[in-house]
Amino acid sequence: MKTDEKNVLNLCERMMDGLTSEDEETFLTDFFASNPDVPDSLKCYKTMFSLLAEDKIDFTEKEINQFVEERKRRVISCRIWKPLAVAASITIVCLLGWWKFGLQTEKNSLEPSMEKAAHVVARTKPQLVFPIVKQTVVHHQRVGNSNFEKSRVIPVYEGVDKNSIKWELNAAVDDNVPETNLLTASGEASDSLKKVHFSKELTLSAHKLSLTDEEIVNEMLSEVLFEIRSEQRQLLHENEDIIRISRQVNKESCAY
Amino acid sequence: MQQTEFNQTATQLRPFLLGLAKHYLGDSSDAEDAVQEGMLKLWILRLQIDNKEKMAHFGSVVVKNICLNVLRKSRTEVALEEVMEETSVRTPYAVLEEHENNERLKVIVHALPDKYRAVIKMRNVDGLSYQEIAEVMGCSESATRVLLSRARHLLMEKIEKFEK
Repeated sequence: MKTDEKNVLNLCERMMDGLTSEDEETFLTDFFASNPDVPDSLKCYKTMFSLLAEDKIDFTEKEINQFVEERKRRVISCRIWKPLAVAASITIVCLLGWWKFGLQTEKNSLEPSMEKAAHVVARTKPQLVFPIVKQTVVHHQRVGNSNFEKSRVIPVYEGVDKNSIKWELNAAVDDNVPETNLLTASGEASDSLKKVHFSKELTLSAHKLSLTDEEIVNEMLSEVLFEIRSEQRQLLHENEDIIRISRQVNKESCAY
Repeated sequence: MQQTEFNQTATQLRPFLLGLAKHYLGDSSDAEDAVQEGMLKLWILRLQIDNKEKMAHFGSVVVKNICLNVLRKSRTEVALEEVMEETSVRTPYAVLEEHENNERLKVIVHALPDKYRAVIKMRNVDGLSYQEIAEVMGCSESATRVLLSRARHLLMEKIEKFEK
């Protein structure tokens, strides 16, 4: 075969297109192996044949191992991810269900009592449902000699008549309305509202004496006023004591 | 494993591997290509293959890996140029500078798809004829020539870029 540049270039181009015979390719391999210096037009081909002669194209051991490396991780990850995805979906559905129904049930379990507490006054008067709170009645339960240990905050709504107050007091005591709920029900407005204190004994005794509603309320109010005044007096005394003691301490310290 | 035995086993194994490839890739030409590439890789591995059973095992693993690669590539199709860039990013220029030109060229050549490398190796290094390669791959001689042509053009493209 001719070894001139034109012929070799032509053969190279044909080889690139896969049109050469095996003999022609052998010729090219030999040509480039025996000619270290080739024209510029053949330099790229020279580089290619050098690469092939030196088997630079061969696969490394690492690459070969990768051929047969079982890609367990990928397969396993698929196997893991599928159940994980299912589990996650179920968890999300359960959480949504709990959020939707569980919390509502929880709310519902509170709401009847709270509602009962909030509207216990207005039960007989539907028009008074959710009116503006005007007054909060605090019911104290005296236990033995200790001071008012238990208290019930009961909302009294605008427009409520005396009869409702009496009924409410009894209902609150007899129904065993949870204190927390009662407090929560009226808690929002209780801070800025006037508080009226009642004692259980007083309410019961008033009933025994068959007092009128007006009389009951008046008695209750007077009782509350008395309690408040006595508390104030006690505080005043305590303050006086503190002042006295502090003065004494000052004196003693000065003398010392 | 000798070439004759390899070719016989490859012929027996091909339907099984094609079924495996179709399991992953569906009834498409991709499955056929995967088996052909698998056979090329098995040829590269032939020295490690002692018997038919091992060839069947290797074949199934190789084809499965190729299929997984195809599936992965179908999700994120990356041009070879980008792969080349990635390669050069991974191997800093400063490091390459220290290597011989041949080593640098080797890096570029190794970025060629395995299928192309394998078929060039079979023809130009191992000296298999077109017909023999066709037998290994389980395709026609003309198909082999087309594949080799593509492989050589791509290799030349890389060399030209390197020379410049």
